[in-house]
Formats: sequence, structure tokens, C-alpha cells
Amino acid sequence: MWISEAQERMVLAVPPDRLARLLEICAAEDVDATVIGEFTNTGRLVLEHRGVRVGDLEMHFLHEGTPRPLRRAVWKPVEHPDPGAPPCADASATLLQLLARPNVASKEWILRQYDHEVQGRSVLKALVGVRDDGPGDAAVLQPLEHSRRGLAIGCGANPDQGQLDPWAMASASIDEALRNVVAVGGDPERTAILDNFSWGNCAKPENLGALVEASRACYATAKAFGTPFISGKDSLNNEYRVGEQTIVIPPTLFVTAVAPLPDVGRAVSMDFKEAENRIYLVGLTHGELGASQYLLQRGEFGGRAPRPDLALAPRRLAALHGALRQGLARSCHDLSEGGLAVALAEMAFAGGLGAEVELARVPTAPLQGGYDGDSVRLFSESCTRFLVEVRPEHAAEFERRLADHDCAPIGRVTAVPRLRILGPGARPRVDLDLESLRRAHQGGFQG
Amino acid sequence: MKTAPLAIAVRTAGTNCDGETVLALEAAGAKVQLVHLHRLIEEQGLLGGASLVVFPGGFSYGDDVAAGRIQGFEVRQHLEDPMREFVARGGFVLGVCNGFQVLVDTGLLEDPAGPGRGYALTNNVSGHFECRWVHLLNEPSRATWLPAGRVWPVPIAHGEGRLAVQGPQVLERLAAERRIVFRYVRPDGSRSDDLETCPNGSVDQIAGLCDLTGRVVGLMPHPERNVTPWHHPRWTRLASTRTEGEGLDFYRRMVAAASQSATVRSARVSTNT
Repeated sequence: MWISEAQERMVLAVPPDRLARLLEICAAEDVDATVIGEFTNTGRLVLEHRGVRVGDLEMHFLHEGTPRPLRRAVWKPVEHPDPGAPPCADASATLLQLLARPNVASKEWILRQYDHEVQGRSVLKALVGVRDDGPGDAAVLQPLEHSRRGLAIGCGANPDQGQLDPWAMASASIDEALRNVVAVGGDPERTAILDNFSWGNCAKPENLGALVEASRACYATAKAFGTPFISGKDSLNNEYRVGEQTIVIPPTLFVTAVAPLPDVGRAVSMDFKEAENRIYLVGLTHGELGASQYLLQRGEFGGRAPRPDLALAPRRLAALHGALRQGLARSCHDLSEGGLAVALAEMAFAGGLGAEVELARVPTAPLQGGYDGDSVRLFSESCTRFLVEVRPEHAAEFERRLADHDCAPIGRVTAVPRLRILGPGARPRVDLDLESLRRAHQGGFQG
Repeated sequence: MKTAPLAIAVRTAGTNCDGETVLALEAAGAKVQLVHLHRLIEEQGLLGGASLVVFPGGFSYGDDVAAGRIQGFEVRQHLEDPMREFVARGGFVLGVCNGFQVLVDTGLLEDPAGPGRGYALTNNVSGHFECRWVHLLNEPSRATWLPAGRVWPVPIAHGEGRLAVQGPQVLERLAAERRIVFRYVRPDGSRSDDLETCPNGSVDQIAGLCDLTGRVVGLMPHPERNVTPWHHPRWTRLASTRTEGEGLDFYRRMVAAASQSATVRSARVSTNT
């Protein structure tokens, strides 16, 4: 009775004058409720069963008696050769492959097995767009029926990057969660975050070392964004043995961000809305392909994992939020796994509209040798970047609001249902119809 | 009718759509009392003052045995006579999703003198729960308070919503008695049995039924989840002049019809043992 972990039970501390009312409510709901004891000032935990004292412990022992183990943490950077950004012979074929990768592909088959409409509170659902199959950045809820204020809930995680650089992975996962809530209209100044660590056996010094790295990144990144961790959960020691082989979960930090929206009527979804609107890219693209979907698809891994610029990123989020709050964006989507090419493809098929984009217009940081410019612009997974669809009449005001930030018009939404991404000399690097993009995205991950 | 009609929304363990159902009824002009099923069983006189009784969606009693089965059993055991009396004197009854499953199980959709039910709501053909938006065609039926021919965008969220019949004669009877209220259709109102249009695989794409009076209606989709301008999954693409969700009119029509129909008795307690 004392140590059973049977579920769906709760212990409540109830003032004596409220007890009768509580028991009345429980009885009305057919819920079993029993008084099992009372708080005393004896400093002891005393258990009795049918008049027999079966347990008697000092509170001091219960609270302070746990032996504290001392664990060793070791961290040395993972040594992988940097494959750079190899040129891409067929970017259309590569894009279709990336869309079908499990960490990019549609999760529709599983999302639809959960009720995401409970209590009629959803304003933006997980899936958006003309056919309800575009991967939304974040959910928006309207918690109170009498208020137009909303709540955006978004997530970030990247288990691939965790194996290369846990610091970068943790920092980028926070950035991704924040991008997602900001993309739908959430206020980054008032955002709170939650951590959920999934890690291997932390008795092993190298696993614990990676955890220390990730925790340091959490501290630095949360401080820079001014986003408090308000809760969290950990699931350590995720390992098991099959014969001689030990399977270890990749070091993963899953971050959830919760951000208020001043007005649910201003929430922004990620599907393209109208032909001839401009497409802006906000943020700077670096040669950051470490553990990217592009390299993984090629069987490669190393290089620099994306890290947010902790000096610039918070100000960029604030500026973009100002533009969204003013109603200047018709759609907005963050760039994450698969980079620019994947984000454009998702916005296009979700909106049932095409796009024509010039890679030469993508704001790009100077690249080292071995980094092909088009590959970087198409597939780099640099942090704090967004695609924003803006009506021509709002373009000047949008540019004014983003004037101090990396932001450039890279193309336009088209009525022709094709995604065309043009490289140097207006040569199409990607030229695909929406149905091919949709099929690739739907087909990659099925139950 | 000047005063707002009283709607009783019935909840029990596992009901989880009571919140949006109460809001939709209130927005439609009803005064709403949210009552635990067991209170209603104890105080059946509550029905005397009501024009409308609603069984909202959820997972009553954890969907144990089958969705709606246990709550349906409780209603049939303890409330069948008072509920039939309530309907006979003009009261309206609505069951949505789990509430529809409950209604089917109670037999309240059937004439006690009729040939028996012959149909059931059972597992979706996919074998799993599904949450998505669909379109409903309002068929010409005995529920004349609904606009025949209208197409309603509404969400579904259920695992056991497929209407199955014992044989073709059951379908013929439902059609001949004009008791088929809603069918899953394409957005343009045309029929199709593909799973995008009719995700649970219901026979004849039937989504909702009524009784012979047209005042007892059950349907699997959730009109109460399309009440605000922001419920629709594509509201960001729709005209900004839209001021409410399409489902609100369903409740408005039901509340209006119930307020004109029910001859509300003064609350008379007839405690059942």
C-alpha cells in the first residue's frame, strides 16, 4: 500500500474545514476519496496499519538522507572530418529525398490519431493550408472564450545535431522552439520555455559530459533570449542491450516554447496565401551543414552544427514579431531541417501556390573553401531564419521594420503550381510541381 | 418565445466536450445547465423545465466495452421513460460524437414499437481514432428545422464513428423514414466514399440520424467546434468579414426550434428509485 506506483491516484493536503465539501464533490463524481492521515509537528513519518505501527522514520532522514553520488563528466569535441558543402548535381531530386526523410516528412498519420480540437480552443492547428496538410510552425490556442488573447505552443529538437555537438544542439533547439512560436505571431519578449532531456546512461562520463555541455548551452541561450525555463522533464539512461550491442538514444533536448499572442485574429499560418506576394528571407545563412539533412542524405555527418547568434537573434525575433503584430505577413515559416529548399516546398504545397526564388538574393555569410554557395543557400540549417510572405503594398513597411537585420526579398509567390529556385544565370536548380513535393513529404514516414 | 429556453448538457466521467457544447448553446441563445448524469437520474424533474437535452462528446467511462455503451446503458436503465416523455411533449435531444454513440445505444432514436435498431456505430475502417475536418451535406429529413441542401464544414474526432447496418433493408428503412440527416460529402456537396471525404467508412457515408419526430438528432462530427471565426482550419485564407463559425447556425436553429416546440412544464419532481 505504501510503495505501490499504481496510476491515477492523487494525494491532496486539505484544510479540515474544507474536507466535508471535498468529499461531497468526490462522491458526486463517483471518485473514491479517503482520509489517510494528517500532518503533525513531531518531525516523524508514522505509518499505522490496523493499529500496528508498521513504519516510523525521521523527516530529516527522508529529506536529507539520500546519499549523493559523485559522477565524473568528460567532454571532448566529436572529431569528424568536415565534408564542407558538396555541390549538388540534381537539387530537385535531392529536395524530394530530403522531404521524405523521417525528421522532415509529414507526421500527419500520427497527428490525426489525437484529438487536437478538444474544447474547441484551437486557432491554428498542427496542420494548415488548403488541404490541411502543411506542417504548421506552432499551435495557437484561445484559452479564454471571452478574450481574443491567444497562446502559441511550439517545439524544437534535433537529435542528429546532438551527436555532433550537444552545445550547438541545445542552443539551436531553443532557437527553433522560439522561431516556431514567433512565426505564428507569439510575443518573444514574453515567452517561457520547457526542457525535456532524453539522454543515454549518465553513469558514463562521456554521456554526462555531453549533458553538461547541453545544460551550459541552455543557460547561455535562455539568458540571451530572456526566456525562462519554467518547467521540464528528463529521461536519462535511455539505453538497452541487444546481445552484444548497446543501443543508446542520441543526446536530445526537446524544447517547448509558450508565447502569448495579443490577438488570435492576427495569428499567421505557414501556407502561401496569394500569388504575386513577395517572399522575404529573414536571417543570415552560414555554411552550417554539420549533421544537416543534406549531409546525412549523402551519408556524411561532420562540419559545423548550426548555432544561433546570441547577440543578434533576440533582436531579430523582436523585429519580426513587430511586423507580424502589425499584420504585415500573409504567411511565415521558420527554416529548420532541410533548410531553405524544404521550407519553401512546404509553404508552396500547403498553400496550393507556386514560388519563384533567386538564390543569389539569399543573405549569406562569407564561405570557406569547400563550401558550394548554392548548396549552402539551399540546404544549410542556420538558426533564426524565416520565410515571410508580404503583400506588395506592405513591402516598404516590412523592410523598414527589418531594416537593421539581414532580410531580403528573394522571390515571389506564383499562381503557376511549381516551385522554381533559380541559381546563377537564372538556371533553375529546383523545378518541381506541387504534387511531387506533397507526395514526397507525405510518403516518408507512415505508421 | 421571449425567455431563453433551457438546455441541459449532460456530463459524466470522461465527457470532455461539455465546455464547447455549453458555449455553443449559450451563443445560440439557450440558458444552459451542465448536469452530471447521476444528478439527472436522481432529479428527473430537471427535465420538466428544459426544452433541449444534449449529450456532448468525450470518452464516457473510458470507452470501456465500446464507445458510449456504459453511459447509454445508464440512460436506458434510469431515464428511458422520462426521456421519451420529454420528447413526446416536444423536447429536443442532441447527441454529438460520444453523445451520438450514447443515443444510439439508448434506443431513443427508435420507435419502441418499430422493428428494432438494426444499425450500430462501430470502429472506423482505418481501425484508429481520427481527427480531421469534413463536410456534411444536410439531407432533406424529418429534422425540418435544419436547412436541407446546406454543406457544413465541421471537424470529426472519433475512433468508433462508422455506421454499420445489418442489411440493406435497414438503410432502406432509414431512407424511407427520412431519418438520414447528414452525409459526409466533398466540399462541393457531391457524394464520394473515399476516405478523405468519409474518413470512418460509414455505410452510405451517413454521419447523422434523427428519430421519427425529427427532434432527436445524433451526429458524429462536432458543430460546436466550429463556432468562432477562428475554428475553421483555413480561416487564415477566408474572408476577414467572417464573424462566426458555420456550426453556430446549427445550434441556433436547434435552440430556436426547441424554444418554439417544447411545452415546458413547471419543474415537477418525479424521483425515480
